[in-house]
Amino acid sequence: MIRLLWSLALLAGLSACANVKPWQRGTLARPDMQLEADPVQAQLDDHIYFSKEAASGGRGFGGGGCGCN
Amino acid sequence: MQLNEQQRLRLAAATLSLLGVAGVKPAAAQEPAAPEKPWTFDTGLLLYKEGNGRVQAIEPVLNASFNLGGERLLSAGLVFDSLSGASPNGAAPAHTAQTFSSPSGGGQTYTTAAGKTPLDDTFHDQRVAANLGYQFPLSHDSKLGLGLRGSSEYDFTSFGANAHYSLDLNQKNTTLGAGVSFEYDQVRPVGGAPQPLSHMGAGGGGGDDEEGGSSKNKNLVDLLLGVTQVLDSKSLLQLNYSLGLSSGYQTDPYKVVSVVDANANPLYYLYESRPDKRTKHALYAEYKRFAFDRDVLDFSYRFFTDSWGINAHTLSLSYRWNFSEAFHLQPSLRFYRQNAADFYHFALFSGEDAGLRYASGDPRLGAFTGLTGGLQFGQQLRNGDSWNVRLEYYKQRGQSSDIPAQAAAAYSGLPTAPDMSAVILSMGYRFNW
Repeated sequence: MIRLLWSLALLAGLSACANVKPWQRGTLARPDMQLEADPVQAQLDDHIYFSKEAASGGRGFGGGGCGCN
Repeated sequence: MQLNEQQRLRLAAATLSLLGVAGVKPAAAQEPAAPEKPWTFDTGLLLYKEGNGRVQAIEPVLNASFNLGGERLLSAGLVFDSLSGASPNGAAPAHTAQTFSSPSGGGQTYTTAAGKTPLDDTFHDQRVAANLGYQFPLSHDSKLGLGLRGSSEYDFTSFGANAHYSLDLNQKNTTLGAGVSFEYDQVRPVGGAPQPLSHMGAGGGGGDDEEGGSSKNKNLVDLLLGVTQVLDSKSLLQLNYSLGLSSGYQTDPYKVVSVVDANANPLYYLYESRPDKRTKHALYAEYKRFAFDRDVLDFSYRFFTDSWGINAHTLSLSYRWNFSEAFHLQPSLRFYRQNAADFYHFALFSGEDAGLRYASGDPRLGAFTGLTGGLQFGQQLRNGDSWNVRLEYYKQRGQSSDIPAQAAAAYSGLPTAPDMSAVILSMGYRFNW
């Protein structure tokens, strides 16, 4: 599994042919372009799906600390 | 004039710092001071309601962070959760009415009508959860976040600690992240923890069982490794791998599994039993793109697999339509699918329970698909505050599986794959102070 992750990381690194300069980052700095643009909604989603489904994890550590599952 | 890479960077940094653009600074720049309004409050309210009188919940959330300057951030959060309603107890439906002992014991019972999925309607709970965090830079390119969290319910207590390290590479085009989280959970089942796979008494819980004991615990360790790559000036990709290791009591003390005859008549009920160990792996990919110089497209996929034999796929798609400077509409769609755990049994056939180590009839460990559709509306106010409201509909569609072959014919006409639906309304308000 670790090997697979490394392969993915390497792949992502290699495919990063575009090198975006700091002055080209206006768009990526927008609040709605952040990976977790709405942390409260993400937190609520994690909590719902953690208590209703068997799968969890992947995005972060969210969803735990609950006797609901 | 031809500028080399170094000169270009310096010039850009100088220009941007003159313009007051945050987040870009020349190497020798001073640490950014604390902003004028150092507090950020991120608040939310969730209203959750399942159909057919099942679970409903109200959940207010308050998160606050304080910017200490120098990219140091102190944060705290509080969540209150109030739940009530009926929840499947794991038993299979039958052609006759079924009576179960209530977890609260004392000879109390509840009855499920013939042909209905048994639901325990004594379910109610209140939960308080709190967290504290501190994030600070370790160097120009790296930062560390530390967190503590705890939560309490009337029969459950949890404590956790986590750390997350991130490193920017390649002029911040690549970010590597690594995190670890520890959690200790203690469950004190109402009426005591029943001995796994013992018979559910006709008129009492498992509280009298000496082997069961009143308090059970489990430990969880989670690891998270990730890489975020800027693809171009309008898109980025994140890839994560997470590993979850848990050991200890993972059985649901309130759930049972039916033992039936060839006519699908329940002979008795056994308290469920789950393995003490569980290893979970998840691979997660998220792609985000700024579209039409206005909107944001977000797509994610997660593959999950665990040592209990569950594989799950989750696909999420959302499109934020910034239809004006201040307003947005965001439709979203989520698809989920899981297969059943190795030890999931819709019911056990008489005699099949002899020598069995693990068995659960919890539909959350069965096979089902889930579909969520939602629409969010939000506004960015002139003073910098923002709010949004989101309405979602979540539908779980069960898939019949692990029905004992000897009773399969008798189960036709009974709900062997019940659906579940929920309406989810959530609101958020964010402001600086």
